[in-house]
Amino acid sequence: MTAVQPTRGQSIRSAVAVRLSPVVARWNAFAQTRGGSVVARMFSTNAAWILLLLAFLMLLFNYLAPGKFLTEFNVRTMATNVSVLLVIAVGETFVMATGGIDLSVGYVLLFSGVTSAQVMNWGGRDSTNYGWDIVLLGFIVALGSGFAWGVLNGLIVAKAKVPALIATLGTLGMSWGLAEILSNGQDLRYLPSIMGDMGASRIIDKIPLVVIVAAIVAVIGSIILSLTRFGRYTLAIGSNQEAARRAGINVDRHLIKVYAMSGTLAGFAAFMNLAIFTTTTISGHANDNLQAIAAVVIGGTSLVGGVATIAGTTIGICIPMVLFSGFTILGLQSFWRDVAVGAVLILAVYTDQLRRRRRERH
Amino acid sequence: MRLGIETVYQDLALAPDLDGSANLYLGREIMQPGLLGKLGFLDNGTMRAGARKAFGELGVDLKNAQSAVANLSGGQRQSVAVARSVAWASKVVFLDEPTAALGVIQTARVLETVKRIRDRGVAAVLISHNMRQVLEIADRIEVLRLGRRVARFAAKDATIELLVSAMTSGIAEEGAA
Repeated sequence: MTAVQPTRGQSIRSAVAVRLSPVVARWNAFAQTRGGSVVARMFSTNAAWILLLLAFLMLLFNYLAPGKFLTEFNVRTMATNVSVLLVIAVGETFVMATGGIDLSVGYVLLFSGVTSAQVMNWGGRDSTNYGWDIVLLGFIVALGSGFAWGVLNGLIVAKAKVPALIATLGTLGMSWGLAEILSNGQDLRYLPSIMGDMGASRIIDKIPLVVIVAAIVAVIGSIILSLTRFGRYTLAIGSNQEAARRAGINVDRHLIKVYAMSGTLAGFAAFMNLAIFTTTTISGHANDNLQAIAAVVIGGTSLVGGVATIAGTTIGICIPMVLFSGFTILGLQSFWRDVAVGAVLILAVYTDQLRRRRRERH
Repeated sequence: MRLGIETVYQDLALAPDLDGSANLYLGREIMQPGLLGKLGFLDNGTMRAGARKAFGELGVDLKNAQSAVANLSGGQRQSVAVARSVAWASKVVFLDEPTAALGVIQTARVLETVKRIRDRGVAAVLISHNMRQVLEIADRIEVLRLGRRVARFAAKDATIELLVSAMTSGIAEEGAA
């Protein structure tokens, strides 16, 4: 046997490694510093790379369509359009952090919107002139409907041990069907006009209220996930459910809480949706669940759980919107967005897998 | 678990995506004082300091305490699992094959740790098939065969031959203990 010759690929790789070694050394030195370690940790996650991609896309579209893409109007439109999705994606992030999935969010949103609207104009009356008490009632009904579906999801997953994919596919069908039955397939209109005013209002005449509300939900979600015991247990369960159980964590109860939270946020999003569109938008939620899941995954949340950030999810929700808006402005068919998002999604999961494999080699 | 009895499982039972401190305090988190703690906020600073101390006592040097456990070597991971048990045990620590997946150096580290557990006045029950290892660190040896104790030795009186014959035949007489 002759001595093992390095393959061509290996020699190229080692040549590249030699060329890059000063850069790597400098980077490692930088990573040892206090500020550097924060940056280094950031770039070890997907979120920082995805943020770069988002910035690149925005600059690219701004370059290709100068004066059309990064305008106040377009940015406001994009932000308004992602606000409802962001709220359900925050809940989805918690669910996926436990290693689960919630397919039902889009139709739980629809169901909650229908029940909320029906309670507000009970008996088919025109509720246009109703006051804040009725709006508050509608809000509570929307939250309650979402909460109920969430608890049901949690019970099926945690207690009945039905895999989350199937459990939430089941409640997706149920909530969809019931929403259509309750509404007879007709969009409900004539909601209290103050609600629509609220949905259209802006802070300092520039930033839509719904965008602020969605941002607050995301910030609170991020604090809960990264700084509280609730978030710690969520990640621990996704990381190793058995270890969490042996550490004395009540895993079943925590899972029910997480699914309940996702459902409640879907209810909250339903109310925002009613305020923005002043109608139930029955046909508009077929892809909400997939968009939320794609955003969570693009944002660096691991499909098997244990790793998740709300910041990543927020960026992940913006990328499809930027693509959609950019393609539309450029006169391309907006379906290109779906093509591009699909590709980004696969890339995100691929890099996550790469990172896991590298880690396991230790 | 709250009785001061702890177990190191064969498969470690760590949450690989969390860091050493989070694993050490998993299920026993220290909360912020006052209102923040009531709202569920963790006191990560105190927990990290406690973790550094606990790992230090076992001679474990975690270069990056905020690194996920999955990024650690097998030996370090094992050390985290052992440290967790030791930190909470006040009476007995059960170690089920704690060196099963480790190299020579890490094995020596873990055995050293087991001795330190004993020296702290906590009983350590080590479950192992490695006779040499058992003879090296045990004070008392209980030989089990098919789930029953078939022999008991004081480690200073036992030899590998005695242990193996007790294990395989189950007929060795009870030792000098």
